Amino acid sequence: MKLLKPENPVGIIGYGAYIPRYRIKTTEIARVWRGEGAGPIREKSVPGPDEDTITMSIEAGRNALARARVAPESIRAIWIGSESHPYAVKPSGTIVAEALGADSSISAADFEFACKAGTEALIAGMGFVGSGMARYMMAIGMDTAQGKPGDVLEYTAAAGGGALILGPAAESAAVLDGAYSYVSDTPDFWRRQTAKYPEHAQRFTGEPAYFDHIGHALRTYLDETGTTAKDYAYVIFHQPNAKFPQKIAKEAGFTPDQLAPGLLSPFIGNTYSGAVPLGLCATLDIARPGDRILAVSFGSGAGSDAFSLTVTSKIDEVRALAPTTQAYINRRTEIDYAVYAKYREKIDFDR
Amino acid sequence: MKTNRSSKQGPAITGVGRIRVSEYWDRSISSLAAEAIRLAVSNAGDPPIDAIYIGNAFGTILSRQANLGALIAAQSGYRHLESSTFEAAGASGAAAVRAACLAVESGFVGTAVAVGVEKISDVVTSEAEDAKNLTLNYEYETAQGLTADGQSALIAARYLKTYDQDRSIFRSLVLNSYENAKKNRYSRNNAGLSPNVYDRQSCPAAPLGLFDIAQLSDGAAAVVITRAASVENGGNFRPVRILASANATSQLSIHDRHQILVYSAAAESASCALNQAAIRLKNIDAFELSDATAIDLILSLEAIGLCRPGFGWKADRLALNQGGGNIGRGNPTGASGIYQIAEAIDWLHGQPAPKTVFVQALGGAAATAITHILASE
Amino acid sequence: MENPRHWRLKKQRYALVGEICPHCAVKIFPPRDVCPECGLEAKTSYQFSGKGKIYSYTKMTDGPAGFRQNAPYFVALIQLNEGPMITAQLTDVGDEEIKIGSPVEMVTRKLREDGDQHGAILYGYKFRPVLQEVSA
Repeated sequence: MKLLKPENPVGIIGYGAYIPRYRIKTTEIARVWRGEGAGPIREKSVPGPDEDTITMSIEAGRNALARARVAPESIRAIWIGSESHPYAVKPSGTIVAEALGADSSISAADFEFACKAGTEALIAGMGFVGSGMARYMMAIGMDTAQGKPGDVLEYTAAAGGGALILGPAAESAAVLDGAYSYVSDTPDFWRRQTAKYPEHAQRFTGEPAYFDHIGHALRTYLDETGTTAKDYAYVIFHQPNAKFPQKIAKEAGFTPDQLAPGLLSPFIGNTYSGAVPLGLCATLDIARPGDRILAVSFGSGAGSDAFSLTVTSKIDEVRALAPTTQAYINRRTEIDYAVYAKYREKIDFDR
Repeated sequence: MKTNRSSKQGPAITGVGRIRVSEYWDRSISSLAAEAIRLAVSNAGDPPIDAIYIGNAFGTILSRQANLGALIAAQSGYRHLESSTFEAAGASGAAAVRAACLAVESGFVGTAVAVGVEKISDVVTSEAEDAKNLTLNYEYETAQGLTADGQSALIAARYLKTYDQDRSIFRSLVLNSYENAKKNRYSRNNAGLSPNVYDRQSCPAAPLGLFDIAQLSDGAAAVVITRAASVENGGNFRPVRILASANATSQLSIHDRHQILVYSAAAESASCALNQAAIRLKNIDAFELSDATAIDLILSLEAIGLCRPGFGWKADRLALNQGGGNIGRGNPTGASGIYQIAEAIDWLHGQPAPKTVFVQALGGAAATAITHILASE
Repeated sequence: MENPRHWRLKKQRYALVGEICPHCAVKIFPPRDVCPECGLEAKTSYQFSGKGKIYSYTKMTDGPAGFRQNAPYFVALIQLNEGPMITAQLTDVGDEEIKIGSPVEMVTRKLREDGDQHGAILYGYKFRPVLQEVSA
């Protein structure tokens, strides 16, 4: 059996989204670098000059705590998945834990696996809670992704993510049915230690990387659980753009309606490690008790995590306790490329 | 506060010396202070000096120099003399004057010099502006990106909101300060300020405009203080008596104050000084009040009781800041308290001569207020 | 670099943890261990809600060292719902009108770097226009 399933059933007892306020239209980026229009992603989210993965994790974490209705001192782990941890050396987790009011008797760790670092923290958390080592833990996927100026990734590299608090299934708003992870050494996208911007292998990021890994994880998960696309109310795929998740969804037999609530990239761009947790938050915002939700992440380098949830009746109690994902999407202030360059520290002060 | 001081024990000023407020790119902090000291002592008829009290706000950071006492006493030509620094932001100079008063009145010191000095132009302008922010609470104000000008702006914005006014209330007050400064030969600005230029100013910390904020400047001023009883009449300088000296503080951070629009330290220091001098406010002939920004002057007038709350900007019939104040003359922060005293003496020695002048220096956003009341006889 | 200083302030800065006076029940921020109202010892920690109103504000068109690259920015006096007033930056100010009396909520943001880009990143409270009213 390849399925990852904890001894004690585990579920999500609280969830919280975060998306920064600023937006840049992809046509504005294209105006600077190409002189003509961009692709199907309309605009992307941009963090303010005082935001980073830590501050964004704190807000998502506060939202998750508000919905979980548990004391921050009862959280036993805060694991943050990101490819944009503000420090090369020094954990994001300790700062977030301190800000959330967590106890010091806690595991705080930073995960990195390109765009699937968030779901990796989630699956590790399933084991941590499911083994009985902890009653509650918080898994966060959050990124302030950087694209090299003028590079194709600049049109999509966005900021945002979600925080999920795991606990006993009996207390949860959505029970985690199980998970599956698939990885291989595939160098499709990477960033070296001191490099500011990542590199990518262009078309190589498609078939051998995204589609192969997501395809494997998806098929295996469905086989192992004996389910098909029809068993799920909603599905969330990693969304580096709008096309990739739509293509894999169609191939696997999911309808556009199943995909729509969790497909945020057309509106805010690719939030990297934040993408699947954020898509999950947006889906939980509208899901009904009994709905099953399937999620499949992808991280370059490469790997894919598949997991599913069954929504419980508690969802209706917790939903209104924190701002919705849509509230963050609706709160938008458009900026031009000059302000974007300033906010994202693309202007060299030679400091 | 009750006092049993007799006028004979009380302190008197027997000499004044100051340099023009300006930018002295080619001179050091000790050279500026020494010149003011020597001018004051000479003005007093070269009496023996027993102590030098120095008012300075930013020397430790802008000139990277501590222990100005030893440095400046020696540079002024005095060996082994008692000398140390007093720091109370914009009220540093006034604190040095008060130290001299306490020293001579106690009998520990015969004659003291109080000198205020500020040397802004040892560093680039942005560093000098940063130094000004040392008067804020570092952990709870500076840490948030607030500046000293920003702090005044917060007070000013609230004032305008509370009294339903707009920023035009600062206009005549500032233009008047520049007009007064034209007659002050120690002022940085002698050309006045045209209303057109004022109206086109930028707003670095709205609602305060560039000209509503006094310009940081170099300066040094000194007074010689001794007991009134030991003053020998007949010299060039007509001695001026110090009838009162009072220092009061309030919370450093404006967010800790119950009433942001009430400069309670200014009120407390004023009433304490008036009590000491046994004089009523209405019997004071002229005023030298602190104006690091225009709102400081407005709220000082209200706190002291010269204007009703909300009307401090309408003090046009008052004999006020004839030397131009900090806004007109330029603001040599740690020295400005002594420039105020010197300008009060100009007033007492002028024509027509008032009998009493009320001088109040503020440190920070009126976190410290030091009042002196001077009399010609 | 001032690591010890910023480290000792972290709880209050990150999460608006102040104090409550056990004698007169006044809520205190910044914490100071002595009640500013009754003068007695007050060391009981208190978690503020982070909700408040703008009491006054100004727009800084130039910042001091460490803040210059973020100019222009707003600094405000915030009257917290629990009583105390604090000085803080406003952040995420978009199209909405900023005025005295506007409701705001606390967020934790980067304040500046300690020294330069090699120093620690300093985080702390700022306030923003209320994102979405949420039932308590």
